Order: sequence, then C-alpha cells, then structure tokens
Amino acid sequence: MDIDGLNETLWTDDPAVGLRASLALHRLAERVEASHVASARSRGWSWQQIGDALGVTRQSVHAKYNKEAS
Amino acid sequence: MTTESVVPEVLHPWTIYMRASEEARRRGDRRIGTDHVLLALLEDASIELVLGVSRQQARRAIESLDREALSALGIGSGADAPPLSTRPVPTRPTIRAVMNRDRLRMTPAAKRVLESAVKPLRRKTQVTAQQVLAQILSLQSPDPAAVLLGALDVNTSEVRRNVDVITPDS
Repeated sequence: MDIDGLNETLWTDDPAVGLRASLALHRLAERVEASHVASARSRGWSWQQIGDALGVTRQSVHAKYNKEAS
Repeated sequence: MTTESVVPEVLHPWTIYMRASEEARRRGDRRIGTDHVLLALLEDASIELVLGVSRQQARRAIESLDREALSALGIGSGADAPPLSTRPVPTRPTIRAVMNRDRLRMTPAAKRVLESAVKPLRRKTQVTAQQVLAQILSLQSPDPAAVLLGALDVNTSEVRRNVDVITPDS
C-alpha cells in the first residue's frame, strides 16, 4: 500500500461514505487481529506472547479468542 | 398470495439478540447494529421470502459496502481479512446461555428496533421476525439497515404492505 497516496486520498467529501469507511476500518482491524491471533496460536505462541504483542494482558486475549479455538 | 405456506416462527427476543450478536462478531464489530439485526432476521425463511433476498446475498452486500467505503479512502481490496467464525445460537436460549457469552452492546437504533417491536405485544417474550422487520423497514438512510436494504434494491414501502398482511396483531 502506498502510504503517501493514502494520506492524499484519506478524504471523501461524502460523510455517509466517510463514516461508513471509519467503521469498516475498525472491522478490518478486528478481523486482521483475529486471523493473526489464530495463526500465532497455530505456530505455538503462548497467550502471554500474543498479549505482549497486542499490549494487553494474557487473560484478556485468552478470554476474547479462546472460545473460537474449539 | 401464498403466505399460508410460511408460518411465522415465534422467537424469544434474546434469540434475535444472540443471532444479531453473532453476525456482529463475525463481521468484526464491537456493537450490534440494525444491519446485524436484519441479518439475524434473515435466518427465518419467511423473511428471505418477503424481502426476496437470502442471508448470503445480504452478507455479500454488506461486505461490498465496506469495500466500497474503504476504497473511497484509497484502501484497496488487498487489505482484506476473512470474517470471524460464528457459533450456533440455541432456539430457546436460557438466561445462562445469554450471560455466558461475550455480550456485545446494541447501538441505540438497534435497541429501539427490538424494543418497539416487543412493546405492543402482550407477551414480551414472544416476537416474530416479521414484527421486528416491520420496525427495520421504517428506518431511513444513513441507518446501516436502511443502507443495506437500499444496496439490495429492496422496495421497503412495498415490503411493508406485505409484512402487514402476514403479521397477525396479537
């Protein structure tokens, strides 16, 4: 992704699209996190390591993602 | 009309809440919006019939709305991650089943939709998907459910008349 290009185009004059895009970014971030937590787990990362990488406690990543492992 | 063939299923409002919650989670949302309530209602075959769209179509439409919005920011389709997995929802959830899940909050609009669907009913624990849909149909853009229905080319005023026919006022 071209970061300079992103700065220039990080603007749309339609607030309906812009606000939707803001939510879409949140969703994308959640999905990226979830899929990489899963891949970290499958590579043998501990919940502690994942928590450290995300800047949260081991307990909170575990509580959020452990249910999906089953 | 062949409305007799599809008997509206009576649901507990919690069932709709939990189904909507799974839709929100699947999408990566931290809040249950009216769009997720609409997706939850589409689990009911009678809703697919009355709207003329399947849940898969609606999910695809919601994805392309997001992609469209992201590309307006210059974020290409390369930035994509799969939706999260959903978990099964019991048809008659117990209070314990609801409490044991990670509970996502509803947006004010989603809350209003469920509350106003249940309000006129004598039994607040029994609601049909049609009664909830009737509330969703009156929403206007930029409400996410209204935007989704627009993207699906659903004629809301026409559907509203059909829903009135099906919904027996209890």
